[in-house]
Amino acid sequence: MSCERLGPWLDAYHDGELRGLRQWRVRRHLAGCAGCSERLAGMEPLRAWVREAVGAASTPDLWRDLEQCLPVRSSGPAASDRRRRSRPAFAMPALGVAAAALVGALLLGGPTDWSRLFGATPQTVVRSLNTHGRPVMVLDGPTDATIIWLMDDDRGQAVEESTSVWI
Amino acid sequence: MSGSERGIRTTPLGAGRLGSRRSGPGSEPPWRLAPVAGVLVALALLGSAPASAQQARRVGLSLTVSHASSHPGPVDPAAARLHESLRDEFRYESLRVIERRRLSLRTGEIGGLDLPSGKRVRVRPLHLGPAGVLLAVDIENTLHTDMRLPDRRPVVIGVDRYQGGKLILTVESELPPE
Repeated sequence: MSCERLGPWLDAYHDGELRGLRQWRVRRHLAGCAGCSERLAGMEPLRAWVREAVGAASTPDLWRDLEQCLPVRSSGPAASDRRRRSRPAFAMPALGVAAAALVGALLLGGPTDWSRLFGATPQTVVRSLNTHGRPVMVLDGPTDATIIWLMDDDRGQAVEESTSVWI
Repeated sequence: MSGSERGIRTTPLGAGRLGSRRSGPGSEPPWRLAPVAGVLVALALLGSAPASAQQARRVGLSLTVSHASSHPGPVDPAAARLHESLRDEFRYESLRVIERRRLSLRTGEIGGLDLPSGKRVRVRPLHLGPAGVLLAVDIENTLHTDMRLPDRRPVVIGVDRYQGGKLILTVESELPPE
């Protein structure tokens, strides 16, 4: 992974939002790149500043002011609950008709790229994978390639811990 | 002649209804079923047309076997694109293309090649759609995968260790025009 490609992920890594392979790749890059490690270290003062600022905002005084501005909740059964219970009976059939109309329109609309409809992007290249028990990595390469990398059984653990993977 | 039989001669549609009520389905005159059969045939033709059209279309597949090695050496110019994909992810000193094969397959047809390690690679297009070709790839006793390959978007498979390096199979599709 190059420094340019790492850029968008560094913030997320810093905030602890990355998991799994992505986290591992960023960590691997950081282990071998002084520049990016420096950038990461530079984020820490910002984080401390934000923590301080957020902490200051939640003072009891400010909360009291906010609380006074909020509408008072009634002590009886919530109005929204009553509304939910007395929802008109025609709502469900109407939803059913709408769903049927949508399905019908989709079916009659001819060939459709279902993967696009349901949010699957072209990124989802690999649909199933059986490696007969061998460890495997699936990566989106830096170009438009998808990489399926079968690792050797005896080197799987070492690969996970190394900073760069030898072929 | 009863009134209902007269009705059959004068108003065929109404008579059909009467007739079907009066007699069992086995005695239904064949021509009454003609419109229904026609609709069924039309639906069957409509349904099968895209499938047969899809079967007639061929998908171009390019299979490339390369070898990346930890031994110092050049990067084969023919493997420049592969090098671009791998160089940030893996460490190697040299890269060369061993074999390149182009296949043209219909859905359901099987093609393939043999890796230098002796393993057989088989590919089979399962479905051809706007998002690409759904392709089954089988590497003998090593890997079975189904993948949706968009047009000219390669999938690089690092397969086995071989001669101090790794055998790499690149699969790329070339979809026919719609």
